[in-house]
Amino acid sequence: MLPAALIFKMQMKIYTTVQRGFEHRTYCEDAAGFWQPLPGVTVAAVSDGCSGGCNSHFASALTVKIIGKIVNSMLPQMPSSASGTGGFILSRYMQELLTVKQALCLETGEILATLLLAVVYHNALWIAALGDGVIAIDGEITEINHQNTPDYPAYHLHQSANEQTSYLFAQVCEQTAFTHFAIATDGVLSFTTAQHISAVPAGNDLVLPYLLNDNSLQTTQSMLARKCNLLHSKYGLLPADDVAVVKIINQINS
Amino acid sequence: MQNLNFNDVDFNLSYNNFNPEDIQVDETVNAVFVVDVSPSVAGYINELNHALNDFTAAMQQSHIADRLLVSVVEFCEKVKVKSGFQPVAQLPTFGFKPTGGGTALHDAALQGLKMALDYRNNLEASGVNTKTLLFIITDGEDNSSSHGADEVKNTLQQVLASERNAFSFVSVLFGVGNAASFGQAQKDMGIQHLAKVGTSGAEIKRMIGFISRSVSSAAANAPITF
Repeated sequence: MLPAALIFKMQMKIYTTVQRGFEHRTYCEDAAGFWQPLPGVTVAAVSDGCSGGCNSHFASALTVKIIGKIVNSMLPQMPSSASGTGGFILSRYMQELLTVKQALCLETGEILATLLLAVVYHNALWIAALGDGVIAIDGEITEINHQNTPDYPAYHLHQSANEQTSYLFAQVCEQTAFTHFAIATDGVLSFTTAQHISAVPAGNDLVLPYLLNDNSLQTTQSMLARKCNLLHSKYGLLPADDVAVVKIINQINS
Repeated sequence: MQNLNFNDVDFNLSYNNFNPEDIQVDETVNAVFVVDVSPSVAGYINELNHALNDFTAAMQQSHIADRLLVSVVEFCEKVKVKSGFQPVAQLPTFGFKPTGGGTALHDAALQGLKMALDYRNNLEASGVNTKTLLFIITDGEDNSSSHGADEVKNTLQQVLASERNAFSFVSVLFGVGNAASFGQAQKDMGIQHLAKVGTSGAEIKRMIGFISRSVSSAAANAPITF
């Protein structure tokens, strides 16, 4: 008989990949992370640094590091629901981001990054999007697109609590049960053949279901990276923009 | 597995390659050692075994251990696949012994090359990108092969003609000792690089040191330098 803690950890299969887009020559400006602070609780995040900002690779990495710090230190105060946990993390994130900005004397342009945050609490799923990205839950894919009107968390650091709350929870989805889901930065929409640098991304019909919904290669931890390799070797498809994806399969429900 | 010896085990069943589905990474470094075990190697074979075992131990401790797969082919007048591609952590102890009475260098190079290409294709079909390093270690010229050097050369040229392979496939011929024919063998087989090394323990260690650096460079996407 396996201990309960181990059973809960085995329940979730977690896959992640971060790929540099071919239009970004030096740095990948996306980041991803996941944490399992307690049995039955999984937190995942993807972040996309604003290319128009400064040190965008740092902004996305900082975002994920802050989320990790919050998750790993929140046990004594952790709410007992997915939405409660997600809300706690988001509000604490805004506080921490402001603290780090001030401590490191950072300009707002240096901390511009999106955040897609997912919290799994036993079987329940809660996802919040602060900026563009893609969410796929049990085969249903949702693109979050602000039509080039960026609205990064860093723009809201000095707002009142009420204003921050309405911003943080404007784009939230919840499910009481799920079999698999994925969160991705909007780079997942940019797969194209490398020769057509300015072409309209043509591969989304193929790429999104394959990367976000399809569960093949689930026996390998590098599932998503290997799928990206196959998209390149079989179809010549590469991401033009950087991509970060976290995918979770709930083995109990699937 | 560490107490197993290559001479105790015959892995030559479908080359016993590691199942691509069980690989947990998305990029591997595949190293093939094609090693001459004809009687003339007696003067340095113990040093070679020691150096290769040191290499194995170092790689098993390194950060690229989970990405490094190693295959071993030995040859005299016959060619024997000692191990298909296996994770370095599962590599048995090297214990080559001088045997036979000839040197089938071309046959062995072709065997190592074909194994490398077959497995590379299998891995890429399952989404794993590969860097392939073919190390041929010999102290003499071919006198027993049924295949010509041109077959090795043609196969290598086909591989390297692909842009995808050009920067991820490296072949090196190590000529051990003073035979004058290593340059000609390299040219005839189309091997990309030639390194001549002496038979002393220090020289053998230097050769294995180069191999270690090559493996690390391949893992870091850095060019291999001589």
